[in-house]
Amino acid sequence: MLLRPLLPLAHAAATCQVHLLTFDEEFFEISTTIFSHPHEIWDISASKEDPDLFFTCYREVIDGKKTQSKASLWRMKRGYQEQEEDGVGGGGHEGGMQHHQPRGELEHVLSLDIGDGSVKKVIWQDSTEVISVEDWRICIWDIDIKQGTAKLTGSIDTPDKGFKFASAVMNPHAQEVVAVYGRSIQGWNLSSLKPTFTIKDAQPALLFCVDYNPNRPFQIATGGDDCKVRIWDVRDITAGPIMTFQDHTHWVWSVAYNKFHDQLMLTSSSDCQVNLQSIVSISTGAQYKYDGEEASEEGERGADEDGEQADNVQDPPTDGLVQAFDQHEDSVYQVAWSSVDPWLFMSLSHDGRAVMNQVPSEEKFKILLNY
Amino acid sequence: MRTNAQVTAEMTYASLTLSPLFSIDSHAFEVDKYMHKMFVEKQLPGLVQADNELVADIRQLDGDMKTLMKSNVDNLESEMSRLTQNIGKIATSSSAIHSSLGGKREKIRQLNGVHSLLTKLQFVFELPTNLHQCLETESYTQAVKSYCRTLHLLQHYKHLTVFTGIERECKAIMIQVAQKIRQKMCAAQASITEITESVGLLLALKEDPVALWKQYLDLSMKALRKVNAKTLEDIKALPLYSAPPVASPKSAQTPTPATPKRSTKKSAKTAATTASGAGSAEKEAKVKAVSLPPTDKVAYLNAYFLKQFEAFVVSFMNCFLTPTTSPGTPANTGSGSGGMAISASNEETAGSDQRPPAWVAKDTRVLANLTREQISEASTTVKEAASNMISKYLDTIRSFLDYPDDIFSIQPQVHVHVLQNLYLGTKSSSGLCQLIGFDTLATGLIQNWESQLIERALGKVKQGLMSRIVQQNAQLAQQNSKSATTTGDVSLSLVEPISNTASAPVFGWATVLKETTVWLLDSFKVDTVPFLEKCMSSDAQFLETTEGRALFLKNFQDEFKAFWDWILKEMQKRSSAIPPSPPSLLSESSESRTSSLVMSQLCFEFSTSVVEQLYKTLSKTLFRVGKRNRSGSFLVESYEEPPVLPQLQWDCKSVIQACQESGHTLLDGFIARTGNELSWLVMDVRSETDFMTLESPPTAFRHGGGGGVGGGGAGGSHSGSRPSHRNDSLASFGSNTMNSRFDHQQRNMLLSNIDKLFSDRVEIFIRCQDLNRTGIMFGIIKILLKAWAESVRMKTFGKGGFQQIQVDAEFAKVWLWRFATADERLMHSLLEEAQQTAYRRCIDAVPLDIHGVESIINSFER
Repeated sequence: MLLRPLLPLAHAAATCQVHLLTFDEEFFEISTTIFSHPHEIWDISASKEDPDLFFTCYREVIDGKKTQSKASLWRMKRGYQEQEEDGVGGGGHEGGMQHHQPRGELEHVLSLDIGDGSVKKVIWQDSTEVISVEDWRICIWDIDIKQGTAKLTGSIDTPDKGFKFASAVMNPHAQEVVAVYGRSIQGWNLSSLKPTFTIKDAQPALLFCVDYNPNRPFQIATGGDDCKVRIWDVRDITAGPIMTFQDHTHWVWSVAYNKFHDQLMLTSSSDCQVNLQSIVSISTGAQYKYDGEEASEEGERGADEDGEQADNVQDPPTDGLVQAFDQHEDSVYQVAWSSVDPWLFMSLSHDGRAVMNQVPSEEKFKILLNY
Repeated sequence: MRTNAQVTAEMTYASLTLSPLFSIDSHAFEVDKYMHKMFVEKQLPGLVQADNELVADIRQLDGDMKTLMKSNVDNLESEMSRLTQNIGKIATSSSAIHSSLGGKREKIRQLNGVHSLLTKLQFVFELPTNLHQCLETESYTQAVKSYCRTLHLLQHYKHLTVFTGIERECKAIMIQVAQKIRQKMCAAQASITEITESVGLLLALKEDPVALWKQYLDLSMKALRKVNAKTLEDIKALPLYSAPPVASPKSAQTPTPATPKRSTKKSAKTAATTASGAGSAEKEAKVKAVSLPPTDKVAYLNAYFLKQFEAFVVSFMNCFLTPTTSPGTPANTGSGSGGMAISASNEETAGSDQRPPAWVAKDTRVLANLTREQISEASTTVKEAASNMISKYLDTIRSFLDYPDDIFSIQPQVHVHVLQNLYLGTKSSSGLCQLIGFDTLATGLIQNWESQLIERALGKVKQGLMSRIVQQNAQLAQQNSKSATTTGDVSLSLVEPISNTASAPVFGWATVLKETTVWLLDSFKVDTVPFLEKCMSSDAQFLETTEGRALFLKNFQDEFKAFWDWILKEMQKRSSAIPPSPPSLLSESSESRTSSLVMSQLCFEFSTSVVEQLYKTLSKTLFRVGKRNRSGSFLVESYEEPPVLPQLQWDCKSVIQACQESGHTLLDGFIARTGNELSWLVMDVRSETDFMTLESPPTAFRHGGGGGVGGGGAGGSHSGSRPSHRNDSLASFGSNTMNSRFDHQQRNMLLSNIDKLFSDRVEIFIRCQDLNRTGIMFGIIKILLKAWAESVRMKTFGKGGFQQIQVDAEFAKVWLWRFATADERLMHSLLEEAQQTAYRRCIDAVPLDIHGVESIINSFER
């Protein structure tokens, strides 16, 4: 199971590392495999097909004078094979505990030819096509892993020269990439490279992150420096966001839909919190909600199944903040759901701490029993 | 009859009874005085003698009476026996006379019966002739009346050929009559009255009721439409409102209805009926209606159109819509229609001729024998037709009520008069009310008028308030940009208004706010409330009733609350609609930015005093309990403020709360926006400058713009009051030297982590609690510094770059401490955080020592 890449931050001068975190459900413990990486890593993204492959976006200091932003594909060479792989996390410095942890080697496979500005992230399309998001453009690459080559097949320039691309996400339902820059959101068709929709000045503040609802087409979520998370329906852009919520007290750096239950959404912020939101009313779960007979039937069945909860019939899930996780002590820049377990997620903060959490069981039961 | 004894007794006492007081036979005789006199004047022997005399007298009298009685009784007995004899004689002779006359009397009675029968027969036999005559003289009513009277007779004696012949003949004639009636009814110029009469007659002739009601409805509607058109034509020339008492000479000249057919006579009649219809109305209204023909549009419309319409509806209901009774109980028919007929005849306007005559109802059961289904069909159809007609009528009324943009320019009494007429109209049209709920419709219209009135009155205040706010903002912005250009410092414009809010040295923000609130209060006191008061205090009956008044007030209360909601929403909308300005345009955007600050302050102002004051004013004026004083005494301010009325208290509280809430929201919006704009400035600077290659700040030279704390906002404007505090602030940091602070990086990390663990969570974008300059500025600074700290994390620094950050942080400390008094530690920790981060992200960190930094800052100040 691979977690989405987490934003690593490293000491510029020190050697950087990639940590492979493996979560063993049976024993409920995390083990770490450390790979050293030559430069400070800004983003990491693992291949869906081959668990050993991942891209990193990093900055290389040249001659101590200037930095060069790069994106490269790496292959992990491990001492032994894991039975169950649970995550790839990026990590900075660890204390003196390295002797406990197995170490591995990274094999450089290929690099993307990045132009001016830094590369923000790399998105895997499939094993032969990746998309890189840079400051001023979004590029589509054909890569050949065996040959170690990458070919630029198309690029999209930022429509507004005043604003860099902040982030982008693939539409899981179509060949479309949705990017945020400045205060605007825009989508492009990947084959024609033509814009599909534009939400100009979507909010009065800058946008930092975007995610696409994996189960419901046309629904995207954005976060930015006004502490608010907004959810949009891109079919009707004039109507404004279909939902807005503000439970953070500083910038929202990351939003993530749950791949299985899109009524659950994670947000992370530089107020050191990770929030688990329920947006059931506009999710695919909504059609099941309050569906009188069915729901009550389900409720009864649930009550029958676990006898000790017989008198504790679950309410249907409602909109709102489910739980705020405040284990971090510094800004949380990345949060990601597990791609295998629907209730597991991990967050990474500036101080290098990665925290794995689960959806609270009450909410879990609410969702399960009301389906 | 006086006895001798009495006489002697009198004689005896005459000597001593000189006055009538002492005469025993006199009316004025008084026992006590007599006795007293006796005791005084007589000796004992004398008294004894008097006593003896009296006793002897009494005895004498007794004996006399007895003899008298005896002789009288004997007399009486003989008289009585004679009387009995006489009476007996009289009795015998009288019975003899009676028996002798008996036979003749019987004969006379028989003859009488025969005579009346003969008369009837005569009538029957003459009926065809009579009917013919009637046909010729066009007195169809008489014809139908006669026919109906004889009909049952003819039916009864059907078996006699004579009668059959007559019946046949009559029927033939009546068919002609019916045709004639039908013709008359269908004639184009037939009036409603004629049509109704004809229908009544036809109904009495047992025409098919279904076809009949359809035709009736059709014709009546046509006629009514004609009447309506005509009336509308007529009223064009009429004024909407004429003051009834004074306008009498004028009204005499007003054009009377053009049709000669219903000229003065008819109008007088209808006017009279208006009065009778509005029997419950005030006396003056009655007087007016009786004495004058309707002189204004609505009254005219009511008199000529609504009355007829109502008449039609009533008669239709009477004829067709009364539930049919079982044929066995004819009495029910009478009573069934009776209830309505009575109620109708009370209200009935144009007289009994509009309904089928009483004899028709009584004798022939004129009520159409419709089945239940037919009735319901008829009622739906007529309801539909009537509703259409009424809605047209209401539209007409509505068209009289115009709402000009300047709502205060309308004359309330005109509107009220129109509505008053409408109200009277509904009162006098009970049939319409019963059929299609005319009164409800009219009440709806009245309420609509009320809410329109209130809405517009409040809307005017709304507009005024908003335009005032906008205008003031523009003024302030001008002022600001002027001051900004004169000082030549762009960032100044941002700080200035905020400091002015507190101190108000140059341009009085406080004054502006005060002006606005005073204006708002005044506009309510002078315009809106008196205007509504005027509307309410007119002689309108629909407002006179308690429900009417309560409804009006309720209406107003709701609208007033909605008014506040709107204002607050509008402010928030305006505030959020302010486009975030790109940093380069900071000075131009200051207008819109500060406007939300002004509005926020306004909201707080509202919540503290204005709202409550307004509600108090309302309690004192519009909502005052009891009879309102028409003289408009609300203008007289009473000295003690009355409390807010209980029914308004809840509203008042919630409005105050809403004001406070939106004040906070606006303020937070202002802080967030300002903070964000400054943040972007900082972040832009960071991303444009390459900190990898930046030169170290020259220690001795003036510190230039590029790396300055761009949005620090402190500018140079405060240089006059430069704090001596500066050295302390630096010293407090330098408990160890600048260099050593960054030296032991690992240990520092640990320490800062521990610090973070135990320090409170810092919330950056939160509700501003201190509603003053310090609180607001600190909110902005928090946002700014956090943004700076965040943006530093994204960079990689060279030697010079890091040193620049060091200088920036110190610079910020010096300039920002005055605004960060709320939590100086937080400011320091954020700045420290930024420096630490920069140190860690620096390739070759060589921190400047504290003297270097100080000299740079000093050089800048110089």
